[in-house]
Amino acid sequence: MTDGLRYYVYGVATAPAGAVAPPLGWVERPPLAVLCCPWQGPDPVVTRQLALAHARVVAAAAVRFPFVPCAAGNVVTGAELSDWLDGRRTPLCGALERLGGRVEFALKLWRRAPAAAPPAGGRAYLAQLRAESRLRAEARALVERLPAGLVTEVHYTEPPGLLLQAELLVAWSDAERLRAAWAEIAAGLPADRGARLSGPWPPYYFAGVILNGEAGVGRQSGRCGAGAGEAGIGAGGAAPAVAGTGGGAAG
Amino acid sequence: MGLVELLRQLLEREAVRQAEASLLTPEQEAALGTALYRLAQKMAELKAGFGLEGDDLNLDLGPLGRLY
Repeated sequence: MTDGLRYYVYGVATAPAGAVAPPLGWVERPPLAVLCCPWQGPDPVVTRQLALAHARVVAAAAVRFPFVPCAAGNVVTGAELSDWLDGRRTPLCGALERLGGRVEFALKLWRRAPAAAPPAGGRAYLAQLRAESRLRAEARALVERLPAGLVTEVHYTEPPGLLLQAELLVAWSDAERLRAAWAEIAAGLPADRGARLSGPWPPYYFAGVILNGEAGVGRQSGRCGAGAGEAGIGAGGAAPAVAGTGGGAAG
Repeated sequence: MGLVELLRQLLEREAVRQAEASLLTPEQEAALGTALYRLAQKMAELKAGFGLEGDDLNLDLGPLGRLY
């Protein structure tokens, strides 16, 4: 991998990995293998088209085998790839173990309310903060009503404008069950609350959490299963749709 | 500014915690609430002044995760 070539990187699997259609290929550094394709030309600009093409390849990979997705737009040299794999071998193997056969959902909860009037004094502002805190706790309690064992890991954040955002990691085979369980809970939401569940996505968020060693992941299950599904990778031209990648097509 | 925003949020959470636990007198609640409100207003002014919004002040706190 010190061949001077540059690679567009999709993600990491366990070596030896399954067959993929050219220009996709594997750069193997056992026990890991990186799904990538040769890249020529300047670094890519992450356009919507490139992001979608990247997502298609990652989604196809994630249903075939345990796969840790990388963000769109990463181009590295073979030497950089080797260094990265050597330096992150343990967390990458851990991520493959935890993310294999799993997908993630993002759940956003917010309050539909007119902008709060300026508080009439310090105590009023503190009361406003306490009310918001209670609403966040209620939102979290709603997420925790999801059936035990359905969500294997959950990570909460409180972005501006939202009561709560929950990232949920579930087994691929439980994706529809999660949708149904949340629909049942959401049906009982007060009229002034809004919620949106999006997914299933390849576990980009949790890959970042694991590889960056972040804390704050709530529930955690035991071992991950292997990926399931029959979808192929590369068939249908997913990789060539990545603008300028592979086969000498780069600009 | 990200660091100030982190401290502001921590102060607000601690104030809420103390108020919920009835650890503050009405006078202390008024003083603390006023100070926190002014700080929130000032941060909003600064963000607007620098054209910052949404995720711009988010911080990666390493092992603690992200600020939001």
